[in-house]
Amino acid sequence: MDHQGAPVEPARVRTDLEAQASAAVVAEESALVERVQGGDSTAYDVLVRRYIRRAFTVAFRLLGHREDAEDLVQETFMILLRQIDDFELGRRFGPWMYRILINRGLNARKSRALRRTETLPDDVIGAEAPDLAVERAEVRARFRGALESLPPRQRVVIELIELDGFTRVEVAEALGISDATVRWHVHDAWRTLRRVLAPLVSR
Amino acid sequence: MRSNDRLRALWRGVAGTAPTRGVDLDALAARIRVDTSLALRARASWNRWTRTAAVVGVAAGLAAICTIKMIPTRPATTLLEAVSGGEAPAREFEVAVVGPRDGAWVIAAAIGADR
Repeated sequence: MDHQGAPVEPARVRTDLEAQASAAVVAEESALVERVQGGDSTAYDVLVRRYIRRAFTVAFRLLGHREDAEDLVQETFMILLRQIDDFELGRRFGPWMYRILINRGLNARKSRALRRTETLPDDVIGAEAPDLAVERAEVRARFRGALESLPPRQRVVIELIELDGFTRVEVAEALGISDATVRWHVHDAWRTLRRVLAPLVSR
Repeated sequence: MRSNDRLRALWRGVAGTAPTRGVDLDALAARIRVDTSLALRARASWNRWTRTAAVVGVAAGLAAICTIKMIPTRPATTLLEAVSGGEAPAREFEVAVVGPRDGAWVIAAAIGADR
């Protein structure tokens, strides 16, 4: 109940709590960035460790190779450090980091002759019967082919949302595009995937 | 959308996650930390150097201004004195290099102005 005695919707309570949590994170990250600007490397280490796992996941999605992904993550964090004075205090560190990571990753994919895309290790895929493994490999190959047919940025959008659990807002912030554009990318990507992968669904 | 759901399920079934399990992210973070320390140290020493250079520059500028202010100034000479030598040799030289015709003209103008 609010101060007027009217019932408060649960969704609104959740949104308020999320907003408070987000404000706390922003304040904490701004304080960390201020310490980094003052020359404190420990504060930067806190930021790095907070984001490194997700940064690596995104880098791996972009480049498809473990070592390239590690290099991209390291390079991104060093670029951020060089530009730390440009960071707008009062904003989240994550979207700024993802924006640089994704832009550099897309450029790297375009301009660099990358090593062959790694297949996922068995422990990730799971041990399975040979015939099932063959079928999965075929489905995977088809998906890979279908994803290759998407524009690079659209592919990143759909992978981040569908596989890595990013929200549309997070993707919009990370790519520096509007929520509407993200929605359009998702819609268009699904339309292409449905068309290209129709035989998979119908069988 | 129904077909999206089926495709999504298929996709998630085969896509897996990025292989963070096999990657030593702690080691990567440690490497970044080393680079961070070096970069911040370099930045601090560059800032110190820049600050020192700025302070020295300002001090040198102030010293130069003070020195110039301390040089005794002579009263301004008249144009006639300037062209006739004596107190303002620089002006006499200036007239001498202009040439006889121009020199004569300048001397005449100076005398006229002085009078």
